[in-house]
Amino acid sequence: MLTTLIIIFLPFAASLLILFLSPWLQKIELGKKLGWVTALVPLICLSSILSFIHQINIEGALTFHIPWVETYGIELSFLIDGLSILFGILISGIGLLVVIYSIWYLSDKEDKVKFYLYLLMFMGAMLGVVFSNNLFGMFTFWELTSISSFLLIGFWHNKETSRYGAMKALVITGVGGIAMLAGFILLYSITGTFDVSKILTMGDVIRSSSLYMPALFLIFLGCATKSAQFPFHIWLPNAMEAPTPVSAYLHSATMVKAGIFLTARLSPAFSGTAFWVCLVGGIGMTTMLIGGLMAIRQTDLKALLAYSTISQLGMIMAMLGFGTQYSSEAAVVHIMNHAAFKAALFMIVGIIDHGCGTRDLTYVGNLKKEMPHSFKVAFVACLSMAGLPIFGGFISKEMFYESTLHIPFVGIPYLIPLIAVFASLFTFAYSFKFLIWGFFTDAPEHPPHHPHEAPVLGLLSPVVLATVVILLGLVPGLFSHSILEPAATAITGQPATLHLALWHGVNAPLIMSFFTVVLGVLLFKRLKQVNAVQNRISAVLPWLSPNFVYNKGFLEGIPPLTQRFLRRIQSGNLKHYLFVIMSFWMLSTLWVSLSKGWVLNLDTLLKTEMTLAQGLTCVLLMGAAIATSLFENRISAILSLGMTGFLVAFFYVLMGAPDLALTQFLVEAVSVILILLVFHFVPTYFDEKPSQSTKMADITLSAVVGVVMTFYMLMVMDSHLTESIAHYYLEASEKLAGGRNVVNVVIVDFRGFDTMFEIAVFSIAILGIYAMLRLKKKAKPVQEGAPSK
Amino acid sequence: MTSLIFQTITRLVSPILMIFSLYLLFRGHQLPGGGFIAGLMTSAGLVLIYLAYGCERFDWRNRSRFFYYLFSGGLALSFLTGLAGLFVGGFFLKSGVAHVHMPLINEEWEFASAAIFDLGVYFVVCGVCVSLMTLLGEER
Repeated sequence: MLTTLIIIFLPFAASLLILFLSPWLQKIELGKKLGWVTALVPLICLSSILSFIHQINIEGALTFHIPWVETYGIELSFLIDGLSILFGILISGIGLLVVIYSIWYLSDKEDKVKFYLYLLMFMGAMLGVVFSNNLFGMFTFWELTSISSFLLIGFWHNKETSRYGAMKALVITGVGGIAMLAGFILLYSITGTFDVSKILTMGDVIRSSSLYMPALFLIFLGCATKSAQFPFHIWLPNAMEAPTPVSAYLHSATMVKAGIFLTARLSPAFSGTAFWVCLVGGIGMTTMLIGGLMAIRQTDLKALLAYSTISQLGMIMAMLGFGTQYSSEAAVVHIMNHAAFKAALFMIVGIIDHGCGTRDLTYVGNLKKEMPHSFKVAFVACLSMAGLPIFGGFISKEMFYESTLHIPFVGIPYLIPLIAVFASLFTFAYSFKFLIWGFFTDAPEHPPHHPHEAPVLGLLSPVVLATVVILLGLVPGLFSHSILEPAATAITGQPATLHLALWHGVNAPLIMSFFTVVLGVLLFKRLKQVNAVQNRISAVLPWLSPNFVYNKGFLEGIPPLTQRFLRRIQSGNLKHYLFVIMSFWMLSTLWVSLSKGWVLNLDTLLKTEMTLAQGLTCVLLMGAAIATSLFENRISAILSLGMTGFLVAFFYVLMGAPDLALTQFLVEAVSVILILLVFHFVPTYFDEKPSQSTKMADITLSAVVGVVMTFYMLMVMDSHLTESIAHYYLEASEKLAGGRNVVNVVIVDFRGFDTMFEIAVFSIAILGIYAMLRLKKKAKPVQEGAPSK
Repeated sequence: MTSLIFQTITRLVSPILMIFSLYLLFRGHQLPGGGFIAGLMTSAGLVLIYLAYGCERFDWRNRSRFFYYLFSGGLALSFLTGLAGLFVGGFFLKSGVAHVHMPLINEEWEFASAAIFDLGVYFVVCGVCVSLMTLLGEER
């Protein structure tokens, strides 16, 4: 249990520590020290996660609970099984390599304190998502990843494009997050629990529920936005504005894998229906195809990798969508492969960018000689991405092909395998574009400065990752039993056994691979012509891209609408606000009472007795109220209003309620004085003469309020919708709370929460008044200079 | 407003108001009274002084800081009472009663944690009302 808490909260604690030490850290000469210290955090997390592997393989999934709001089943609880271990290893392992890489990458000019602060926060949030066992906990961490990735993507916040990219990522993943929350609530209403491990065992209940489709759709919307699935993929290429270590981290192993993770996590509960296969598998295949199609067009290496990530994520999503035992195993293998080779490639792009001053293929080329070590890493990673033998990518590509051959619920034979091969052609082409254009052929233009290789520190992480890529291909058994099998088991719910090997004999997948390579080479040879056609299409038909919808529809369309709406409801006129509030109140009250068919029983009204004193008070009260509305002078109006209050208090005395009477007297006394003090600010007389129509509207509303409230008061006296709880309070007051003044006990004890928030509102109100009166004065000189609106 | 009659009456009445408000505060749990009423009554006393002697005499402007601390402190006190309930009693705002035998006067006294909460309410009400008064009454 302690280990779990360390895994999740150590990154947060470390980032908090950096935050509080930042005034001190900003002052001293940091150099590379902070990076090395930070690297300890993912190292500790990684070793803690690895220590769980043995236990999980023997005992199965573990859960820990720390209750919080027990009544509603909201608790901090963690689930440790194969799937969370796999993602935990990716997050902390690649996190470690990224931190080491960033030590080289970040120059001394950069704000390292902020960088490591955000990075650790993000790492903690990701670990929280994958280890959460409670839907609310998971959602909280999920939103935290959105926020921290916003900070990371916008790290160079003085660049316009960074801010645009960060905003786009936040908006799209944020909208998805809200949809996901709605989905979680539907899921709760199906299962009656927030506990993920319990939900996973209730697959049959969920699938047969009428809410199945909306719940799945909403949750998948969250996953699709996060994992950059079509048509929400548009945020990912813009997120490339982030520093390269961030891109390597966010887009290989973490942020974009969160959606994959959640789809995998919930697949025991949701998969196995035609809707699941169509939605998840269909979106996945579409994304794979479109991502690949876009990737071959890019000349910016980072953009190429961004679109290739979209394509690869689509492929993983599709494998999860097929929902068979074999496809889930294939997905797990590819998650691992993709994280390794994609992180390596991003880091290589960072090195190229650093060494040449640009990463655009128009300027960069033939780097084989100048960057021999980077070339070796890129060679391994690109061939693995293209799915060529002896590397990990080949194994998972073969498994992908195999799983497309056996998809349930798809009527047309050969359709999906053909699309898979077709999409893989693009994968092959962009992998080779990266490798051949970047390292072999000469570029049309010269780079800003002569290329040079990165030092050992910069190469360390990519080389480690390339080694992993090779190991995944040559000795997959190293990972399959301890890490991949438990993860696949967690996805399908059935014990998985993986037989990973490069050679399976001549079978259908091998033939598909053969065609991919042959056709891929042909496509690669014609790449320049294909790109020219693509550029023409996008120039002629700009609205084909979902970016068009985001830029024109969202960024330019929504703000004017909200502004107009806001100006309408926030007019700044107090009377207008009161009018709106009162009208809404009356409409809702009338609607409820009419729909329930409540009627007033006049008999009880006629039987009600009234003493002479009470009657007199009532008459005076009415007189004072009418006088208030007639006075032209404000001070008279206020005093008359105060009189109504005192008369009400007197009425309480007559009815025998000393507590209420006392309170009312004091409130009235203090508030009359305070209102009089306010009148420094406003003219003594009501100058503005309202128009006839405003007067009519005001009078109508007042009359409606008066009549409805009278009606309700009389009805409350008459009817008892529920049993009165007065007796309970009278009895329990002394026994439970040790007080004989029931009114006071109710205030401070039984309804203590109300009082708590009331005094909080009080305090907030005074802060608001303080701000209005004191701060406005200070701001005045500025306002006078500004043009009046 | 400098009226001798008003000032004299204020000298007489405001101490009584203050003491009576404290009386209401402490008996609140058993008899009519309580933090809200007591807070209002204390503020009424202070408002009287303010009105009778004006803003300068007691340097309200500089002293108003005290009342900001008062209401923030009161809010914190109430919240901490709630937290204490969480840690001691198991849930937020759980109240408790202790009967303590006082040695010298040989009586059984009752201490309710709700009374501390009520004290917080008293501070908030009093602090807010007086701060509001000084803010609104400032010369402009």
